[in-house]
Amino acid sequence: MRGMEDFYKVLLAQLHHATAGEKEAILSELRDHVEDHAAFLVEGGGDPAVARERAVEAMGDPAEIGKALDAQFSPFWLWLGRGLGVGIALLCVALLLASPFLRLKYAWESWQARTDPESRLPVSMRRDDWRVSHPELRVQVGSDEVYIYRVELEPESGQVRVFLTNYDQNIFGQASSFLWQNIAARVPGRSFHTTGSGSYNYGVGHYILKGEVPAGTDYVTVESDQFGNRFSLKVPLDWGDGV
Amino acid sequence: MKKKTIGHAELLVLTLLSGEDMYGYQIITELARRSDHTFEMKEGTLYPVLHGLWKAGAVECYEAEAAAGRKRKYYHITRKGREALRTETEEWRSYSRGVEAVLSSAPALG
Repeated sequence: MRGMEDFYKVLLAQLHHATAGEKEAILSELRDHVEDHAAFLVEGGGDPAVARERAVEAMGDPAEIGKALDAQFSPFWLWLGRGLGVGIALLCVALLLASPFLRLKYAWESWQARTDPESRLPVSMRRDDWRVSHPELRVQVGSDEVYIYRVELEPESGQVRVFLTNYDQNIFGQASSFLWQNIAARVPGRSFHTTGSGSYNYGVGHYILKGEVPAGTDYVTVESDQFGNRFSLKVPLDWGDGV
Repeated sequence: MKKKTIGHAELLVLTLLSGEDMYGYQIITELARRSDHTFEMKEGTLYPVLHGLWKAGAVECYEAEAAAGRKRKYYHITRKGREALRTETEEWRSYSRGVEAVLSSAPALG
């Protein structure tokens, strides 16, 4: 029996390019062969243990067989498998390492949203030639805070744009992504059709409400009621001296 | 098969498989029987030969139960294998005739 195991061990040691599955398949087939030969010898009246030894001897030099078999295997799949394994491991490590940095990035964005949200506004999204005011309105909604930080108004047409942002009250927390889903604005005694656009990432949500108000309207009320989280804020409009 | 020529062992194995599907030990015993024990190779050396043929697409394998009820890996010659066998057999016969012709032309020994 010892000779048999040594035979497989020496043979396996030569299989540098075979995958674990290929090695197993080879061993299984060789074992079957030895068993077949031994069974034949036993049928002829031989002792089973001796028959196995003779069957193993008849196989030949395990190192030579192993080398010849190994030459048949392309290292491609082996290296591909190993490469994938290493790749996945590196990816996991990268994700683990990146996680704190991502957290810091989100925290930094959350900090910017609560202190200077305009710095995140692209120039193309501003109407600096309109009347611009900064109402500095903040309200807590659930675990979030909503901050209305900029209002743009064009006195001639009555077009209004209200800029809002939301973030978790905990600077490392996740901002609510559904606050803007049910948001609306109205003016006293009139319907106020609004449209809006927004963006959201882990730490911060941004939203712009757009609509048109009658000349001289004092304020628009911005409100939202989603899953019991509600807020209502009066946003004053600055018409300047013209109205 | 890409290789223009195949070895003698491959030629013999393909010849056996052209008659019926066989498993490893069966190939060894059949080879010894048909060659009247002229070809008694070390049994383990059959497997690199079979694997090489499989890689070349000359044979394919499948598992099935042998007569004793145990699972066996059977080898089956493919169309590609038959084409290679035909070509190689012709070349071997031509080579064999050439050798025979030279041997026959030699003065009688002894």
